[in-house]
Order: sequence, then structure tokens, then C-alpha cells
Amino acid sequence: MAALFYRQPLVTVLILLMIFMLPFSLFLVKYTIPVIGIKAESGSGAVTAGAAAGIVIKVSNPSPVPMLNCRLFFELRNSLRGGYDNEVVFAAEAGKTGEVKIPVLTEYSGMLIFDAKALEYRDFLDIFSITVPFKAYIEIPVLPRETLLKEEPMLKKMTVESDESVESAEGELTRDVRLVREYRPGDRLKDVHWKLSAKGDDILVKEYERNRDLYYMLLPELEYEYLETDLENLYALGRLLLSRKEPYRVALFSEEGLETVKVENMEELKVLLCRMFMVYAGIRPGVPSMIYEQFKRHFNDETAGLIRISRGRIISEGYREEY
Amino acid sequence: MAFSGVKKLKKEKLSKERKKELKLREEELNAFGMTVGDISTDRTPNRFYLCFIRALLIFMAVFGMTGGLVSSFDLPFSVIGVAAVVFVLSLFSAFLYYNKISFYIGYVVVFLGFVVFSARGYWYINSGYQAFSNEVFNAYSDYFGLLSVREATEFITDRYLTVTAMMIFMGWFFSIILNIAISGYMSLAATFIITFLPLQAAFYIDRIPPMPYLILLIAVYVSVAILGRAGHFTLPYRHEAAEEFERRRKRKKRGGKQETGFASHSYLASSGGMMRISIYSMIFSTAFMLVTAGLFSSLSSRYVSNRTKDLTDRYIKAAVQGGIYSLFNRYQGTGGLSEGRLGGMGNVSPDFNDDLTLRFVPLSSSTIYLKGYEGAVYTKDRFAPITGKKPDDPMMPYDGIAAKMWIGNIDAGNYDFLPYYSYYSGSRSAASRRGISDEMQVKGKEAYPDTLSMLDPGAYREALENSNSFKSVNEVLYTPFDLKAEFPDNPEVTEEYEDFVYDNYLNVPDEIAGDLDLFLLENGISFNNALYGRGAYESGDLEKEKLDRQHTLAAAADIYKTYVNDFEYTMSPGLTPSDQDTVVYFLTKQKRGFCAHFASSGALLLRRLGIPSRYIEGYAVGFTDIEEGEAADAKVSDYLMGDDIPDLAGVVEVNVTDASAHGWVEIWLDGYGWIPYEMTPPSEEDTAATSLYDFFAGLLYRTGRNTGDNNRGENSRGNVNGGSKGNLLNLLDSFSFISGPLAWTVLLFAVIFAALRSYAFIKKSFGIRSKEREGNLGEALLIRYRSAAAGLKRKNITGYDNPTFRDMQGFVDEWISKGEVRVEVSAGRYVNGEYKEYRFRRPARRYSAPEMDKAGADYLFNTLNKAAYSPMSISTDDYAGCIKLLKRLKAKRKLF
Repeated sequence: MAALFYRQPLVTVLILLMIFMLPFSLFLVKYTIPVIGIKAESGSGAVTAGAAAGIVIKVSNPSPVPMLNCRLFFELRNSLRGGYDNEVVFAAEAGKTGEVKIPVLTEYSGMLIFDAKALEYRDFLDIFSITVPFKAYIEIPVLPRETLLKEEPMLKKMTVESDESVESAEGELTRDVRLVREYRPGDRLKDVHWKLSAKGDDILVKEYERNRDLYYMLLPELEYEYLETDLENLYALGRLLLSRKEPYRVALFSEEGLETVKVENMEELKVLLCRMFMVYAGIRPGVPSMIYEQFKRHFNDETAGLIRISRGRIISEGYREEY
Repeated sequence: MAFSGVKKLKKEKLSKERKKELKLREEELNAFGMTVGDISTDRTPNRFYLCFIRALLIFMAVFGMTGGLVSSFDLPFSVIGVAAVVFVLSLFSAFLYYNKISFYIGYVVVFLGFVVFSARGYWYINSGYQAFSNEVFNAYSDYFGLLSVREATEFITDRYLTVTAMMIFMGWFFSIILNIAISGYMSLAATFIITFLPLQAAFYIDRIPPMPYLILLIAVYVSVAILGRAGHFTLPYRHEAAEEFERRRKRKKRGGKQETGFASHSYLASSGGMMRISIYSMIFSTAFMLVTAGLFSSLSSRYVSNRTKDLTDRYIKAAVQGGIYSLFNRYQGTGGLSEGRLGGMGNVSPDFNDDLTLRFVPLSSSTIYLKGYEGAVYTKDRFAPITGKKPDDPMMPYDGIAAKMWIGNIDAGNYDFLPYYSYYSGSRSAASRRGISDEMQVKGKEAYPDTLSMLDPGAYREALENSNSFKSVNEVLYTPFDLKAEFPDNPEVTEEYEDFVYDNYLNVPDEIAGDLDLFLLENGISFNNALYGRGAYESGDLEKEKLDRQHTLAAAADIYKTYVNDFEYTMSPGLTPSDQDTVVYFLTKQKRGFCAHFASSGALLLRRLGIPSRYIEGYAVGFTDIEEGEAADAKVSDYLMGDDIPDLAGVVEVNVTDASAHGWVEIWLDGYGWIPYEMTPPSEEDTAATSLYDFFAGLLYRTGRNTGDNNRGENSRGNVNGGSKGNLLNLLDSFSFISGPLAWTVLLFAVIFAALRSYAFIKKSFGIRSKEREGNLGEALLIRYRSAAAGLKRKNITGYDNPTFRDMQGFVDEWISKGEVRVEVSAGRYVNGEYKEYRFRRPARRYSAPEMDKAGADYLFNTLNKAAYSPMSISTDDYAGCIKLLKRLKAKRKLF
């Protein structure tokens, strides 16, 4: 050994040190990882496009060993427009609790998704890395900008079935009872008219009327190229109607089919928008919207009064006007 | 919690990186509708602390290296003094990176301080370095068993003082270099190379520095390795002020689809983390070194020889003996003869081993020249011998004394080294009689038959010649030469021989003749060939011949005087550039050299004057060599014969080392013959440096071989090796010479530090004054407001990062109405992601409401609102009134 190291005891010591440091460094990392606490939280609620949202990573390390290189891998994406991978390296200081604030600047609306994938710890010599699974999923709605419509559209209501229709064996029913008849096998127990049945010997069931309502029906026909404008128009129109104390419906087409969502206040409008951000997450550029055709098929071409929001315009079917 | 995302910066402050980052963000916003902004943490970066820790690392590296190195050679120095000064210097160096202003101005200050310190302490530093060099050379000489001892002159002999000064100087230098390596790059490789290599001077000869210094070094290596690998050392100032996280971006494809961005944000250093790593490294290295301490003694005690080691040992020995430049000599120069080769040896480094052993009777204190090599034909870099047969030199006239000399060749070159004027060799083998031809032997035997009786018996000669101690042995008879004022006529000099001399020993290459003539002209050296040259007078005109010889010697003396006055003798003159003629370069530019330079140029100058001369190499045995010899058990009559033998003559045996190898000139004296002539002036003391380069070079320049002769003893305390540490007063007094520069440096550092700390205050005040002068009272008021709001935020009274006026007004109104505000101290912390409360809670802090009523607060915030939208419309009265209110908007703690 002396010949190899050329009579250099300090070099020998340094080489021994390097050999010793490797497992020691790894040991320290393995000892410290279980006690480190890392948590990701939303730092802000829903924001408007153009404002900054935020993610907060809370880090706590009660051990005396500082972990200088903790690496969090996460994906940041807008549900409607895609995203990219990120990596943030931070230190978990010994005996301390801290926060790392990640502001996310927004420009367009959508659901801002923070999807953490893994956490990697590197040892002191930056040679070994230990990756542990780390799941954190945060959604922050980014609402469209509150714009005002250039001019107030002339709108007409559409005749649509009431939400309170109840299905029965014979078809769709409403709350309005058309007649009371004898029980037939297959009738639902909830349709039994118990009061009258108790008075007689036979079991009587209720048969309902179909009911129809009249309200504003909004149909957002979202296409990638006009996404933001259409969402802003929808939001502006929705707010306008609410300001007039006019509830309305918005038709959504998801994988399950058509769904009409009732909006009666701002909260419901915001919830609706959040749903839309997820429902239309698959929207792709260059693909035209077929929503109107689907809507017409569903309502047997009875679309009078429908308010379409399409390609940056608001089209009022009732008046054949565009805004 | 409000996220601002992008910290506001003035447009003109945007760096190239920042602009690029903002542009990329814009692209991401357009593509994805979102992008990551300026990541931050809840910690408050502490630049001061960060710089302090770096200073600590620099100090550990510098002090570990310099202290360890000097201690290895048992040199005395003030440990506390050096440690304190090096620590201050390390602090200064580390704080150069505090911000951009300190970075640019600080280096100027560092340089000026360095120059001032070097100027004030020039001789102390120089003497300290020489003391260190002397100890190193002594140690190497002892270790390798070298006989030569290079010694440098220590002008100030108090080593405690001078070594301390030298260590401060080196510490200053290394702290600047290591500052770049540690503060700038946290590079283990650079730190290791800078600190480890100098220590090799000790390790190579198994000198182990004291353990504390090694611990410091190991601790630094571990810290720098960890912090450098983790990237955990940079300060935000090197990035835009907004950026706490450094970012790197790449684009990568995801699943073959369109490119997606990838951004990596790396955390910049935290001072707390760095301090922990440094402390842990220190503890770890201490423990590790204590455990492995045994390795040092076990490894160093086992000598191992191998080919690589022997090779490097050889170079180390040459470098120790001859200096670094000796490694670049174009041919061997460890004393001995160079066989006429000139200019390719930048440094002569004798090994002081015995080359010859002589036994003879010295007749006077004059130098005895033993001629070996004769150079006749000059080219650019060599004086070569005459090829082919040449006639013997004429036999020299008997001067009343004949002598005998035994010459044993131990390690000299394969020449016959013969004294002037040898005429007979008693050696049996013909090979030993090379220097004396058979014809000369016959002539000598005939001319001085009686002297042959001095020769030793054959059996004795044979025994000596067969001895294993010598390569060869020569027994010669000679008529001793003595430089006289007058030389008699020598009938042995024939006209044919003189023709031969004038034909072969006057040649000078045409390309240098002009330079030689110019040199002779400039220095007023001449020889009247018309009167005394060949053919100027009739042969046999003894009077003219006498004058001829006198003038010849006078011309030679003039050349010698010029050398004495204008040239310098040194054994380290440096190499002659390969495109230059050695003699011309020496005479016109170099003006310093050793014997070969003086002898070769002297011979050519004489030839140019018309005086035949030749270049000789051999050994010059001086009187000091003779004095160091031993009295031989032999009879004087066996070594000396003739008239006027001195009464106190005795036979001496002298060992001649390669340090006595020498070069001189032989001058032809018409009608007499060849005489040896010394052209090399004696060595002189070094003069003080004049140019700035010389100034710093002179700090560390070795001042020659002589020891003790040139000690001036300025401020000497009579402690040769600095053994006395004295009391505190002596210690303080000993630093009086550096008190000025040191105090100046510390004061400057304090001023800069104070200025940096008050930078924000100065900047704010300057900004306010500037706005006031412009008449922009609204902006000035807003600056004051922001300062007041920041003060409240620092104490956690408000939780707003960038409060609006409305927010702040609401808060102040509430504060006034309640009369106080309570600031709760954190009650717990997160452990494993869960919040846990402390066991003992500290009480909340209470602050009194500002001294204003609601009307005042309304007035203040209305004015501030007005200032925000229309800064130029604020009147002087409003401005003054708001200043008074803002001054009251301060947090006064309520203790009861």
C-alpha cells in the first residue's frame, strides 16, 4: 500500500475517507427519509385568468441531518390546453419546517392541475438517489375573465322538460298526477297512493302528467381555437342572466350523453365552469364541434329559443340573431 | 394567501437571463395558458451569514495549508497572530461576493492592501521566505544525503517575525485564490489542488504536519465536496433579485407527441444548511483523523524504493540543488565541464561531490588551474577544440621551482587535468599521459632531469593506479605558473608555432564581429596592433616584446574591469534564447552569467583586439579549498624541488569538488607562450528590486549562496531562530510594522461592511431626496410609506406582502380602535406532515396603536391614494403633514 501511494499517508487517508463516505452518506439519507414530511397544498382558491394561482409545498425535517437535494417531480397542466413536466429542487433543512411557494401564472381559463409524481432524495455526494412515490393531486379552477358583452343580446326561452319529471313505468312523468288507478304488477312502490289505498280494499297507484318548463338554454359549442372567447362569453352571459335573476340551463355533452345543468346563482355558475373544464379536457385543435348536431338530434330539431355560444359569437336561435 | 408570481423589477435591471426567462414564460402562457412564476420560500435569505460561512471555509483551507506546511519544517511563527489575520482576510475575501458593489470595489481594495502590505513588509516577507527555503533545503539535504546546501540570505534574522510576515503574505494570496474556488464555484478539485500540492514539500520527505491542520483541511474537503455536489452555495445576488431559485429549462418530447417544456428550479443556498454541513464536516474529520492517525506513522516509517520513486527523487534532488530552472537546462550542469557548450544552462547546481583528489605542495595563495578542455573554434553556442593534429604548446621556461602533483580522478570528466605547466608524467600507462605528449615527455626529461627524482617508485604508482577509488590517477611534474608583471622571453617559442597560433586562435565569426567591436568601442577597450601587434616590430626586439606583453595584459585587464563594473556573476543567469548568439546575448542583454560566459566572451573580445586566446575548462583550486585540505604524510622534497622553497611548505591532500569546475582564458603572449587568465569577476550582493515585477519577484528571490555574510540584521532582536516568543507587549510590538496596513485594511473592511448594511437606508434616503428635488413629492411620499409598511411587516404586525392602501387603512383603523395589536408567536410546527403544538407557548407580542386618530389615518391614506395616481399634485403642506403621520406609524411594543 505504501508503494502504491508513494509514501503519502494523507492520500491514503483521503482515499479511505472517500470509500467510507459513500456508505455513510447513503446511510444518513436512508435514516432521514422516513422522518421528513412533505405535503403539497393549494395556496389559493379559484382564480381568474390572468391572475396567479399557487401551490405550497410544506417541508418539515425534524432530524438533525439536512437534506440538501430533495427533488419533486410534478406535472403542471391546464385541463383544456395541456402542460409540461416540472422539477423543483429544495432543501429540507434540519430541525426546521418551511414552505416552498410555487406561483403559477395563468393566461387562459381551465382547470389548473398539479399532479405530483415522485420525490427523489439525493445523498450528500450527489451519487445515489432514492425515489419514493409521492402522490399529490391539486386542482385549481381558473375562471374566465369577467368581461362584459358588447351589447345585450335579445334572448328567447326554450321549452324544455322540467327537471322535476319523474320516470314511471309508462314513460316520463311529472309531479302532476293525471289519474289514480289500480295497481298493476311492475308498478313502483313509491307510486302507490297509500292514503287512498288505506281507505279501500285495492291498492291504488298514481299516474303522472308530463310537464314542460320554459327557460333559457345555453349551448356552449367549444372549439379549441375559440375556447377562451367562448368561455368568456358564456361566463359574461351567465352573469348577465343571473343579474336579471333569470335562472338558466346549460347543456353539456359528456361521455354519458347530454346533460343540462341548472344555474341559479354565481356559485352554481362557477361549479358549472369547473365541470366544463374537465368534461371538455379532450378538446383538440382543428376539430370542429358537433355539439349542435347532437343537441338537435336529442331534441328532435326543436331548438327554438336555444342560445348557442359558438366561435366567439352568441347566436340566439329564437331571433336568429348573432351577437 | 396572495401569489404575485412575478416580483417587480425595474426594467433597466433586467439581465439577459431574466429577459430570456420572461420570454419563455410568455411562450408557455400562450401555449398552455399557464407557467411557473418566481418560486420562493418562507425563509429570509441571509447573505451576511452565507458569506461568513464561506469565509470560515476559506480560513480553514488557508490556515490548514500554510500552518501545516510551515509547522512541518519546525519554523516558529505566531499561531494566534497568523490565524487572526488570515481569518480577517478570509472574511474580506468572502464578502467580496456579498453583492455586485462589494465585488467590483472590493477587489480594488484587496489589491491596494496587498501592495501596501508587501511594500511595508518587503524585507520581513523576503526574509521569512528565505528562512522557509533554507529550512526546506536543509531538510531535503538531510533526507537525501546531499552535500550541497543552498542557503539564501535572511536579511532579518528574527524568524518568528519574518515567518509570521511571510505566512500572512501567503495567506493573503491564497485567500484570494481560494475565494474564487470556494465562494465562486465551490470546487473540490480546485481547492484540493491549491492546498494539497504545496503540502507535498513536506510529505515528500515524510514530514507530517501537525494533526489540527490536517483536520482543518479534511473538514474543508468534505464540506466543499458536499456543498459543491449539492449546488448549495450560491447567493441570489448573482441572479436577479427576484430569483431565489435558479432555473434551467429544456424541452423534451413526451411520448412522441409535441414537445413539452421541462423546467428545473434549483434551490439556492441556505446559510443554516451550510453551517450545519461545515460543523458536521469538522466533527467527522476530527473523528476520522483520530482513528486513522496511526497510518501516518506506519506509512512514513517504511521506505519503499521503486523505479518511479527513484526517477522523481532524481529530479527533486536536482531541483533542490539547482532550483526549478535547472530542470530546463539543455545539458547536464551539475558542476563539472560542459565541454565548451554555452548558453544552454540556465542554472549551475554543483552537487559538491569530490571530483578530484590532489596531492601537492602549494606555493602561494594564488589559484591553481588544472586545465582539462581547450576550446578554439567558436560557433553560436560552443567553443569546440581544433580537430586533427596540432603542435604541442611550447615548453615553458624554468622559474627556479619544479613541482610534482598527484591527481586522482574520482568523478571528473575523462580529461587529463594538468596544472600549468606540466612537462612530464610518471604514470606508467600511456593512456594516463594523454595530456602530455611523448615529445613533451622527452623534452621535459631532457630539460629537467633532476626533477624526475621526485617521482614515486613504480610499485607505489602501480598500487595507486589500480586503486578502486579513482577512475584514473596521474602523477605529473610541472613548473608552477604565477601571474607576473613581466614575462621573460621563451626560446621554445618558434616562429612556426606563432604562425600556427595566429592562424588558429584569432578567428571570430563574421556575424558577431560587429557586436564585439561595438562593445570594445563603447567600453574604451583597445589594443594598439600597429605598435604591438604581430609584425609591428622586429623579432628579437626585447623591449618591444616586453611592451607588447604589458599591453596585452593591460587589454585583458580592461576587459576584466568592465566585467567587474558592469556585469554580475551568478550561477542562475537563465538560458540563452535559442535564436541568439550566446556571447553577444551575454555582452549586450544578459550581462550576468557564470565563468563560461565570462571566459568565452573574454576570449572572443581578445581575439577581436588581435590577441590570440583560447577558451579553457578545468578546475580552479582556490586557497580556501587548500585550507580545507589535509596535511599529507609525505616529504616536501618529494613534491617540490628548486630554489626559494618556502619554509612553511607542506604537502597537502585536497579534495576538489565539482563546485571548483571553472572556465578561464588562455592568452598568447608573444615570445613567451600561453598564460591562464581569470576573466570571471567575484560575486556581489544583490541590489534591491526597482520595477514592480522585480518588486514582487524580489520578495521571493533567493539572494545567493553565501550564508551569514550578508545578514544586515535590521530590527534584529538577536534571536537567530526566533526561539523567544516574549510577552504580550513584545508580541504586539513585533507586529508594529504591519499595524498600519492591517489597521487600514480592517478599517476599510469595517467601513465597507457598515456601508453595505446601511445600503438600503442610503438608497432609500437618496431616492427620497432625489424625488424631492424633482418636485415629485408624491413619489417621495410613497417611498416613505413603503418603508413604514415594510417595518410593520418585518415585525409580523401586518401579514401583507404588498398591501393595498385599502387593506392597510382597514388594518390601521382597527389598530387605532382597539388600541393595540397582538402578534401571535408560532404555536407549533409540522412533523411528518402533521401539525404539532409546542409544549410551552411563548406569549403573544403586543404593540401600541400609532399616535393618530381615525381622521388622521383617513387623511394619510387619502393623500397616499392621491399620490399613487397623481404624484405631482401633492402639495408641500400635505407632504409635510403625511411625513409626520408616517413617522408615528411605527410599532411600539407594549411590555405591560
